[in-house]
Amino acid sequence: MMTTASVSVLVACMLIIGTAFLFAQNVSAFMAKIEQQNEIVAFIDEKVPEEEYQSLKARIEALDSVAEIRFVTKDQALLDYRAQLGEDGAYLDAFSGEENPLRNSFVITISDLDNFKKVSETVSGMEEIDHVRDTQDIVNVLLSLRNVVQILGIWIMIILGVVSLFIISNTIKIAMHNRRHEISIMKYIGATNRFIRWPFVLEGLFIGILSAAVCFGLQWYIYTYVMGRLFAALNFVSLVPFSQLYPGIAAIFVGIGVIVGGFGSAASIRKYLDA
Amino acid sequence: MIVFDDVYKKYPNGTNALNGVSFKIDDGEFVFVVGHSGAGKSTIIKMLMHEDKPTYGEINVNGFDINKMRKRKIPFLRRTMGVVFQDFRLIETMTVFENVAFPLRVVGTSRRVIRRRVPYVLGIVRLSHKAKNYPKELSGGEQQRAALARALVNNPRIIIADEPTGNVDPVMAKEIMELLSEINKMGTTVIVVTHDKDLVNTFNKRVITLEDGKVISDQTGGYIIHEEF
Ligand SMILES: Nc1ncnc2c1ncn2[C@@H]1O[C@H](COP(=O)(O)OP(=O)(O)O)[C@@H](O)[C@H]1O
Ligand SMILES: [Mg+2]
Repeated sequence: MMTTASVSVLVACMLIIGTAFLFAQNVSAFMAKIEQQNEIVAFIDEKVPEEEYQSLKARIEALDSVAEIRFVTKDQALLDYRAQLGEDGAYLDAFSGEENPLRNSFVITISDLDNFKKVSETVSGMEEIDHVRDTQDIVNVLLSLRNVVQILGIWIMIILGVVSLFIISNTIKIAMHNRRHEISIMKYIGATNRFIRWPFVLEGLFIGILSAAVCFGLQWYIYTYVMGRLFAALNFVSLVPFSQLYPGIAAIFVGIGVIVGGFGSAASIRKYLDA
Repeated sequence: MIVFDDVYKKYPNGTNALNGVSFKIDDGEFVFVVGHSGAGKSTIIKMLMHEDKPTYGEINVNGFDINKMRKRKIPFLRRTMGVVFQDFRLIETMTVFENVAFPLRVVGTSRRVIRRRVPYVLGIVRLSHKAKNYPKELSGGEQQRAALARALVNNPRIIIADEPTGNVDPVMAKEIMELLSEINKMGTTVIVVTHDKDLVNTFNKRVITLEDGKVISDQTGGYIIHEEF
C-alpha cells in the first residue's frame, strides 16, 4: 500500500526531473544549431586595397571563438540579395558592376555564443572595417534563455531530489514504525543492526528502482509519442530522438532510484535503530 | 557466569530500583530470583541484557563487562543468553516455526540445520503441532512454550525466565519447571524469576530474595521471608 503510494510520488518526481532534463537537452541541441547560424557580417572599407584582404582575414580568423570566416565579394552579395527577392529582384540589375552600392565583406561564424559580442566589437573596431551587421539581439535572447533553462533545470533537480529523498525516508520510517515492536524483539534476541536494516534498505532500493523503471517507460512514451507528435504538428523544430537521449535519462533515473532508495532508507533506519 | 558487584540503578524519574545488589551465579547453576512486585527483578534482567546500564557498580555476564563493552557488541552478549520474557515477545507476523528459527537466522545458520533444529526444539516443548500457527492463535501456555523454544534453540549458556508460570495453569507450570530443570541438568545455567512461593518451595534450589532493590537473602532451599509475595 505504502509502497504503491511512494512509487507513484517518486515516479511523478522523476518524470518532472526527466522532462526538465530532456527539455534542457533539446534546448542545447537547438542552441547549437542556432549558434552556427549566427553570423557577423563585417563590411570592408572601400579604401582598403584588395592585396590587404588576405592579412585582414588572417587577423580576424586568429580571434578567439571564430569558427569560420568567408569572404563575400560585393557582386556575390548582390546576386544573393537578388536571389532572395526572386522575381522582384530584376530591378537590382541596374546596380550591377560599377554601380554596385554594396561592399565586399567577411561573413564570420562564432563557435561560442558567449564571445559573440566581443568578436563583433573587436572586428567593428578594426580600421579596415567600415561597419558590422550582427544578430546580437537574438544572441542575447538565446543566451539568457539558455541560462534560465540551465538554472531552472538544476533547481528542479535539487528540489525534487530532496522531495524524493523525503518520500522514501518517510515510507521506510512508517514501515519501521509499523514494525517497531518486531524490531525491538529482534534486538532482544541478539540481531545486529545490520541484520535488521538490510530488509528495509532492500525495500527502499526496490521502491527506487521500480520507480526508475516505471518512469523510464512513461518518459519514453510521453517523449516519443506525445511530445514527438506535438512537435511534428507544430512543424517548428524537430526533437532530439529519444534513442540519443535514453542513456542519460536511464542513468539519471537509476541514479536517483538507487541513491534516494538506498540512502533515504539507510538514513531513516539509522535514526530509528539508535533511538 | 554472572557477577553483580554492588550494583545501583536509579531510573531517570528518580526511582531507585537497585540499591547495592551483589551476587555471583556460576555456570550450570539453577537459581530462583524472588521478590515482591517492584523489588527490582526485571531491572536485574534489563542490566543482564544491557537493555540499560547500571548507575553504579560492576556487572559481568559471560565475560562481557556491561559498563565497558561497546554498543555494537550488545547483540553478541545477548546471543549468549536465552530470555523467556514475561510478555513472551513473540513476533506476531511470524509463525511459531519462524519465531523459533529467528535466533538461528540471526547467527547465519543454514536452512538445512534450521529445518532440523527447530522441529527438534518444538518437540522438546511439545509444540510441534502448532509450528505453522501464529502467536495470536495460541493459548498463553503455548505462547510461553514457544518463547521457551526460541530461548533454547541456540543452545545459550544461560536461560533466563521471567515469571514463566505467571500465565499458565498449575499443571503447565509444573511441566515448564521440569523442562527447565532438564535443561539445567544438561549444563545450562537457569535463572527463574518469580514471586510464586509454592513453586520455589517445591524445588530445593538456590534462592536469591530481593526487597526494595537489595538482596535480603541468598540461600539454598525454599525462601525465608514469611510475607505473601
Ligand atoms: N523504565 C523505568 N522507569 C522508571 N522506573 C522504573 C522503570 N522500570 C522499573 N521501574 C521501577 O523500578 C522498580 C523496580 O521495578 P522492576 O525491576 O520492574 O520490579 P519487578 O520486576 O521486581 O516487579 C519499581 O519501583 C518500578 O516502578
Ligand atoms: Mg517484573
